[in-house]
Amino acid sequence: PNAIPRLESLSAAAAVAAAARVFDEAGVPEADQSARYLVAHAVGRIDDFARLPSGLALSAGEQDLLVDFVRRRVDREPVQYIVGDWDFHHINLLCRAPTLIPRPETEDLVERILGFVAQAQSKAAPLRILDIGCGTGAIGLALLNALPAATCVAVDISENATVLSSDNAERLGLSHRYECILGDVTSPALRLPGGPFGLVVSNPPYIPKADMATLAPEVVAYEDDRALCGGDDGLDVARAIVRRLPHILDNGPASSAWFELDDSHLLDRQAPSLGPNPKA
Amino acid sequence: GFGFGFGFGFGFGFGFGFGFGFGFTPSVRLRALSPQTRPKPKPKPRPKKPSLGLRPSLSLGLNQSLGLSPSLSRMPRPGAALRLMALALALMRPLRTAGLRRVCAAAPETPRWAAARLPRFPVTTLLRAAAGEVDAPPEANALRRELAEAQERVAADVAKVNEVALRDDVAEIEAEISTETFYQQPEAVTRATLQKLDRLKGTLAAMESWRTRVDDAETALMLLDEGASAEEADAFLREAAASLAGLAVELDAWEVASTLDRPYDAFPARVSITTGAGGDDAAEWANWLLKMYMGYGERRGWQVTLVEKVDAEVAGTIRSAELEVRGDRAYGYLRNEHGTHRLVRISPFNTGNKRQTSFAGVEVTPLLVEDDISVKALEIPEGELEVTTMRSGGKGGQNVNKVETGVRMKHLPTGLAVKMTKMRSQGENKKLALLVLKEKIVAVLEQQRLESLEQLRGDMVEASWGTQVRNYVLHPYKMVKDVRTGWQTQNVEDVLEGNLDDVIRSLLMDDVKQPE
Repeated sequence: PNAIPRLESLSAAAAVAAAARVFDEAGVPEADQSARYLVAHAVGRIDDFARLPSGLALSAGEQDLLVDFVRRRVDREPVQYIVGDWDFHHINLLCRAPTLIPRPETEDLVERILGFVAQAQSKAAPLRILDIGCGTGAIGLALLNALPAATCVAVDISENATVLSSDNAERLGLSHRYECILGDVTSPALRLPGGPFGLVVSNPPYIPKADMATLAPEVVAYEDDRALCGGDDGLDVARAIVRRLPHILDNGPASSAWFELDDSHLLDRQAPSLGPNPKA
Repeated sequence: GFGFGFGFGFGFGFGFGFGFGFGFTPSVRLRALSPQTRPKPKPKPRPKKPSLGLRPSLSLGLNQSLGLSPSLSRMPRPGAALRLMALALALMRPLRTAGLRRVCAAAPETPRWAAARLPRFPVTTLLRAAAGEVDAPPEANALRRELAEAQERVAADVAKVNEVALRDDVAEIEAEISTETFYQQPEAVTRATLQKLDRLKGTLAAMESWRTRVDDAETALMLLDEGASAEEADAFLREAAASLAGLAVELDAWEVASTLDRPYDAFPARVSITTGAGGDDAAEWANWLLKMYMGYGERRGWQVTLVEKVDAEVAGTIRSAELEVRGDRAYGYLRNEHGTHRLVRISPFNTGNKRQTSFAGVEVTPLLVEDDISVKALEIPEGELEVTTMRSGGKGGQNVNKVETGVRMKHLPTGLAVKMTKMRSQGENKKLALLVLKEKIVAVLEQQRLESLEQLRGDMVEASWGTQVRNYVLHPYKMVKDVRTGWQTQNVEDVLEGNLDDVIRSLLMDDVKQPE
């Protein structure tokens, strides 16, 4: 951060170059892109990050902000936590440590679900969705955004997540269709409101314990372990959900359960089974 | 004492009570109130005017209509009335010519693109004559020939417009927009309707203006016929020249604009410039083209936004640039710029004074908006699209936290591809990539004159992109030549500053001539 000039006039282009250089030297990945996002955020124009006028001048206050952002990034704090919000699918979500930051791969999951639902039933037909391990609320809220007649119950083991996902629902105007409860899906004591659901989705913690130490500092040092580690083979939580499915899935046209899992869980790699044959 | 006195009591402060518009724009017609009027040589369809003839004409700039056009056709037979007229003119002369001079002096310098319009007299000459900048104004007979040709041209253009239907349409739309339910429609619909109304009314106003100018020139020349002093003759000739010049400019603009009726012509445009073969020279050439198009947009009064610019190593050179051009029918005017532009000059980048050829690619696509009906209608089957993310291999998902969300989208049947990294989520990048891909597809459809996506094939895309469209030579001679129409000029610097009106006009008029 001392390498960023505090100047009478610092242009956006010079700021990006300086920040990127700092990140490169500190070994921070995606140096140039991180620099662009943080400079854009410092001038309050994060959505214009791709087309910031290169001659735009940063005020003294903005330069101070940028220095703070750069310092945090050098400490490997994720860009999304520094900026405070991030886009996912077609919605914008608040991001707060230590709740897991939504991943782009999870957008693929949302797209697949939407494609499936479109084929299974009319877009206007109601659908009760269960999102297990909701985190920021990403999956449930993205689905609600695309399916105007759907409702969602979300569960998370962390109070940070239940508060954050409720905040996000409020911010998106989806509170009336979204309910988040605090609960542990591996515990038999968990009671889910309202009876069986039309569709179950989860991005459970799926990283095998042994891999946890190999993860980048952005992940390991800032995001909740409970959102990441899935036990020895990474499938503890997924298994618990599958065991419950016969009791929580209904017989509707879209009846299905969707999981995002780790690469190492692909069947052709002889992954351990998920348990007794699920109903769905 | 004379029949002009009463009725002119508008008192524009000159104490004569003659309502001449010195420094005003109204064009005043003196009408003799004598009952012995000579019938007009040609009936002219015009809305009724008050007999004291205060008629506003379009004001400012080249449209300056000078303040004196008595309608001689209503003059009584030579004799007493004429002598009275001459007396009136003599009395008014100092004021009249003073006003004329002031108005002439206010005429702006001719834009260079207006040169070489009329067959015999360039507009430049006519306007300079009108402004009193040349010693002798054009000769009267020559101006009369010009007038005759101008009248023919106006008649031809008016014939293309079904005026009755036009007025009906205007009335219909005006009734529609005054209803309560009109503004409840989606914005895209109301915007399209209001634009259409503007265009129709613009055509009517243009036709009115042409007729005014023809009248002004005609009466100036007629006044000349009736006998005038050398000074007056000078003024009449200059007025006629000015009217004809203004008319030529208006007719040109209208004729070009009326060719722009293809489905996407009304859209704003995206202009992308990429350096081609030729190293540093090509990179500098690309920068010159960027400045040329920015200049052209400015002179047309459009809103030009530089969206992206990738500089190359040497100062003043670029790898690529992208402009968004917003203005009336921007895509329509710019669409023929699409293709490869070639520059030949002595390269400043290597020693030896050698001639260097450089290429740059210009891509012009309509700027599409998601909500537009025509965009929604352009559906690309999912099977034709290949979408890949820009994340490098290795572990993903919960294992890593990356901010890279860019996508690549390829349209398999045509090979058209888009890389999109402008948004923060993968979903938004995909959405925008699809829109930009549609823009490229539309551009190729327009180039190849196709109606539907099914007809589009890969080889057509190549033909559309690789074609050389224009040569710019700086050494050993100076010339810009458009390959498609053969249009050429020696004034290369002018073109590079953004003066593209002439070449674009030639391309659009040529488009119209070719049967499709």
